[in-house]
Amino acid sequence: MRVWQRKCVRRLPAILAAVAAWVLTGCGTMSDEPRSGEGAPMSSVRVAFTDGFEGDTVVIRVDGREVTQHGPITTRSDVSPPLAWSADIPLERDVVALEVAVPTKGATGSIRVNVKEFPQVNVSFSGGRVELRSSRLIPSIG
Amino acid sequence: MSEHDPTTARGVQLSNIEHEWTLEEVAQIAAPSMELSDESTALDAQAAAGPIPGPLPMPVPLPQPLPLPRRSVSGRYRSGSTPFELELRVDVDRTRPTRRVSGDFYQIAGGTKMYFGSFVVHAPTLSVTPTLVTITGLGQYTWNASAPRIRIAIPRVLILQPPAAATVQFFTLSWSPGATYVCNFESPYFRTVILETDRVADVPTPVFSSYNTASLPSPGPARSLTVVDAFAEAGIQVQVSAGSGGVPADEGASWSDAELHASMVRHFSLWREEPQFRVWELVAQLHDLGPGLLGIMFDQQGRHRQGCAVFHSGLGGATADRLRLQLFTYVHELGHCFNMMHSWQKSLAIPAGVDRPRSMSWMNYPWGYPDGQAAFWSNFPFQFDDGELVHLRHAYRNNIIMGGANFRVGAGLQHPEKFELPMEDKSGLRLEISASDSYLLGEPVTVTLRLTATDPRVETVHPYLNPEAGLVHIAIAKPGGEIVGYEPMILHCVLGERLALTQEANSLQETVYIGYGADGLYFRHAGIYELRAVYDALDGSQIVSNILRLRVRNPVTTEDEQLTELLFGDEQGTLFYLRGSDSETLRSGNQALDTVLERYGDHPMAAYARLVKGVNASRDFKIVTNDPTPKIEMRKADHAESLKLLSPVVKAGAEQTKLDSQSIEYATMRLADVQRKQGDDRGAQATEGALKKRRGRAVSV
Repeated sequence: MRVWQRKCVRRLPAILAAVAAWVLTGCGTMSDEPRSGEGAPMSSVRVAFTDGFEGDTVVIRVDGREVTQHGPITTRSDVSPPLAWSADIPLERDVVALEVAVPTKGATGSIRVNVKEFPQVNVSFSGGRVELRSSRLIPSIG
Repeated sequence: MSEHDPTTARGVQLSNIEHEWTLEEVAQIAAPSMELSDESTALDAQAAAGPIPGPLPMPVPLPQPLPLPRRSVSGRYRSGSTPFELELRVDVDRTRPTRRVSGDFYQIAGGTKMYFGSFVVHAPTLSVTPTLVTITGLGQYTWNASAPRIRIAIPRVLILQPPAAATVQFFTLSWSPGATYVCNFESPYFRTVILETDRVADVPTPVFSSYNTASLPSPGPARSLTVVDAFAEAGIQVQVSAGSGGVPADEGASWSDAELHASMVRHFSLWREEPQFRVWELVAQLHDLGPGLLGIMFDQQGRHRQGCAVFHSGLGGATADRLRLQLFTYVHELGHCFNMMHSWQKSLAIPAGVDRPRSMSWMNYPWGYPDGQAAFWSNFPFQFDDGELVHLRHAYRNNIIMGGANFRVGAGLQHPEKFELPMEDKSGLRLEISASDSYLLGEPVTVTLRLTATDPRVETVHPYLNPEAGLVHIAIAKPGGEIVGYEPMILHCVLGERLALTQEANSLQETVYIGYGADGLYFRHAGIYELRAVYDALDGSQIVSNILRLRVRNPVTTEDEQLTELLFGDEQGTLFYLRGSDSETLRSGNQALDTVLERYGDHPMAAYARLVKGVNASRDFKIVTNDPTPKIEMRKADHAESLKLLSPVVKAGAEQTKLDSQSIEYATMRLADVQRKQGDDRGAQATEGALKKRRGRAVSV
């Protein structure tokens, strides 16, 4: 028992530092700071293009940086919910600014999303606008 | 209130999979139509009476032997097979009884076994005694049955005895007895399906094996469930095919529906473009729609519902929730292959069902459940709902068998089952149907039928491949889904001619014009048509051909459009069928063909007009007139005109015209005949020689 106590006392500064760091980083919740360090877990967001697409090209940007471009995509209503395309976008942080451009429609939309809380962003095109909505993970099934 | 009908009272729930229902329990809780007979009560009372008490004031009753339980009677039965075989499904006890009986008839003809039709009795009367169960009811049939009432008697045997046979008797509405079948017990399962699961090589996670339903909160008994178990609980036996295996991967590539279908055709070792209780499930990594798609029943071309796929990019993993999702998706997609709609889309079925968005079923969508995904999972008992159970066990065969129903939708054939491949074929004959890949709208459609003896023991066949003899039948599935039987304009009574086959000459073929018949024009619209033929063999076997797909295309150029207008019509169709006529009633048709020759004589399609007009000109033509009294007028053959019309057809041959080779041969033989009649024997010999060279054998005109 004493050996154990001595070890704890010796490690106390390190433990306090770890607790302080945990509190400062938001008690283990989300962070705008990029994750760093070897082996740091990557987040990801699923971007699901749902209603309103017909032969369109789409561009996804994260924090202003283009991460993927894909097309042509067309909404399929024979799967539920309707789906034109989906992609899992790896992220270096949990809170990001996500922008989707649809050049074939000359429209763009954006959203700031906390992917730990909402791991999916549904993108639709309606009334001349690209709409982005964050959600829980909702897969489609045919 | 019933889940399916707000006007009905909610009955006792028989959906508990833990409970094996006895006949007595089902009879007691069921509708008034199900009853325990007085005989049962009397026998039970007698059994309970025990020994007669002795003189002792406190008699000690002798111990009664424990009654041995009796076998359940539900399951699948099958009769002997001449001329009809009956597959009977009895569903009145065991697990989740739906209180129905149903069956499929198969017709045995010669060496072939064909599906004939199905029936179901939805609300039978159940009479139960300790030794016999009798099920009586009025069936619904896929054909107009003349004896639609049914009575099934099954002796109740002890559990140690082998299952008893079911005696099935049909009655007319006035209770005159019809046919009787004795059906032997075959299986406790109502249907048996073979499943082949293939895995694409790039799927990094294991193919689903089993899920313990106690791993996460859920109702019902804890059990380890496989896909096979999930269907077994519904009364459907799924046998895993030995052919299950792997599919090579194009690393990182996603799958389109078309690629999935092509892969099914290539890799599904049991695949045939036919209705069969065989299904393919592909475990792939990623669909073109991305990781957001968990699974799809992609097979919606040709014969539908033979294959489905699940995608591990959204499903893969070994955590409990992932395994649960894998089990759900694997079963859900296979459910579509059994022709089951999503729970919330039952109204899209034909005929429409009732949407059941709150159904706790494999066919629902957890994320769309009205009370939320968590509520769905915590209440989901891992089973199909009652309506789906009825479908799985008692749907008419073509409404459930993979590759069945789609071809049936809108079917207008009197006997559509005639055009299904036999389940067994020992006839030793093969029938093939072929044609050009595409036809311009209005162009005469001809098909070539070829009959081949595949077994040297078949020595003789009848030679009548033309539907006019009534011994070959052709079904045409139109682009809209309607299916019609081709009816020739003229039926020929044929003598019973026989054709001897040898190993060297083991086949015969004939090209037949089917663009026009008793029902008018059969190819009125552009689109894809599917054709299948059946040859009635001498021993009664039904030899069913392959399915021929041909495209009728819309005209693109102005010239094509005008040719379509000139060739398209009832009179023109009749002229093509008759290979020309002088009939007054076909005058405008003949004028249209003349116009084709005048304006578009260089067009390949003009050969049709030349053939028809040239053949007609080569023969004498008799017409009965009534002016002023009935008499026969004869128009003499115009050999010069025939020569002028047929020569360019023969010269151009099949390569430069749209005519099929048999029509060219016919034109050639006609031309040689005309040349000979004109005294040009050398010309006739040269014409026949050319044909002989082309065919490589002798020609007789």
